[in-house]
Order: sequence, then structure tokens, then C-alpha cells
Amino acid sequence: MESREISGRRLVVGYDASPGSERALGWAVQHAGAKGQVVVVNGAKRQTGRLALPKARTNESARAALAEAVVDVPFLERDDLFRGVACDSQVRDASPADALMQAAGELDAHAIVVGTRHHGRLRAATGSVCADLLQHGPCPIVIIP
Amino acid sequence: MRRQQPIIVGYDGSDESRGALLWALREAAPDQPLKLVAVLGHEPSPLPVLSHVPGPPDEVDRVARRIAERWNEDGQALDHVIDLEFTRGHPAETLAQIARDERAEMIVVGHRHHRTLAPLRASVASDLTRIAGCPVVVVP
Repeated sequence: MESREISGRRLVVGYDASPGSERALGWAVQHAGAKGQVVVVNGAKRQTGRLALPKARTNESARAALAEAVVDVPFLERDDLFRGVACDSQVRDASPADALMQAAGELDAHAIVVGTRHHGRLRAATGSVCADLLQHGPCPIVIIP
Repeated sequence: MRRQQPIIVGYDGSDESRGALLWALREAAPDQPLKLVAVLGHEPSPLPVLSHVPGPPDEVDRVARRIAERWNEDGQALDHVIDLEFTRGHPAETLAQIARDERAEMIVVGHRHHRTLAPLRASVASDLTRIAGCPVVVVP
């Protein structure tokens, strides 16, 4: 049987610099395995709730956060945790959920990894990312608490 | 250390739960135990009160038969250390509680795509993402 230690996995991670997304990135790096690849993805457009009017405004902070993501997460500098895992980042001109699904489809990802936010004003918005992924996701979704 | 933590799989013999099982089998380390949990009696519902209506009395038999049939088909894949538990309760809450009790590494569940009823239909998967204390993997 294939072991997780042998085969590298390509994991797409939803990242917006929030604590939940950092936990998701940490999990992905640990589970990608040797020769694995982690692709950090965010969407430049706002995620809209099911009942919200569509907003196509570009979220510049998403772009900025993602540009720093790969260098800005403390554990990525630790070789013992980050052994051999390649890390790339992408910002797509889409909502975060659409960006993740597009990236996962194009990269034939093993899974999409996202964090949850249990509290806070953004709960509804992040909830809709999860709901979109659950309804339409092309591959397994890993939700990190 | 992590290898001793089991993977909990929501499994009732349905096609989507088989997808979850097969994913967990691929993902598990060689010596990592899998615990399959069939939660009976409660269909998740968008109306919370309906989630507590017990299922039909023959449900245990029906699910047990389906699991037994599938067990033979999946036999080759099931040489892992596997534990199967039948239990009653709210599916998501029950899975989350078992995962906490067993200090599980993750919970794996299947998810069926419903094109038309999707927005109205609560699912075990979406409930779990709100209440679980460990990573939840939802396999389409």
C-alpha cells in the first residue's frame, strides 16, 4: 500500500494570512510528504454570501497578503518542518472559493486544504467558502479547525 | 506519535461513504488504525428539530446488511486495523465526539453533490466542519 511518507502530494491551500489559514498551511506542509508540493492560493475578488449581491471589487489586501505568505509564515523557515516540500503561490482573479477550485482542477490536486474561523464577523463569509467547496469542489476538501 | 492516532471514517456502506473509506485507506500510515463509524437513526435536516427524529426500526438491519455486502467487495483493501462501531445519534455530533474520545488525527466523510436540493439540505459534512476539533476531510 502506498505510504504517505513515500508519495508526494500536491495540496492546494486557501491562504489569507488569518490564523485559520496558517493552520491549514501548516497541516498541508506536514502532509504533503517528501517531494510533495503545496500551492498557496487566494482569490482577488471578494467571497460573496449566498444572499449577498455580487461584488466584483478587487481585494488588494488579498494580493498583498499572498505575496508575503510564503516568506512570512514562521515555520516555513524551519527546514525540519518544511523538508523537501515545494511551495508556490497564486492569486487568481476570482472569489477565494472559485480560485481554489480552479487551481485544484488545473493542478490535479490531491486535496484542497482550508482553515475555519469559529468566531468573528467574517464567519459568514468564510462559511460560504466552505459551503461552495463542499458543493462544487473537484477533489477532497480538508477543513482544519 | 501521530501514527497511533486513529482516522475516523463515517461509513454506512453507501457509495459516498465508500469513497471516504478508500481515501482514508490510501492516506493512512501502515500501522495507523481506522475506525469506521455508522451513525444510525438521524438524517441531518435543515430544521434542527427534525434531526432528532429516530429513523425507522429496521434501519440497523438495512445498514448492517449493506455494510456486510460491501465488506466482501472491499475485502482486499481492508487489511488495515479496522474497528467498526454502530451507534445512534446526530451524525456530525456523534462523529465529532468519537473523534475527541479517540484523539483522532482526522475524520473522513463522503459528500454527495445534490444539484437541485443542495442549498436546502444540511449535510453531515457541513455540520462537522463547524463542530469538529480535528481536521475533517470531505471526499466528493
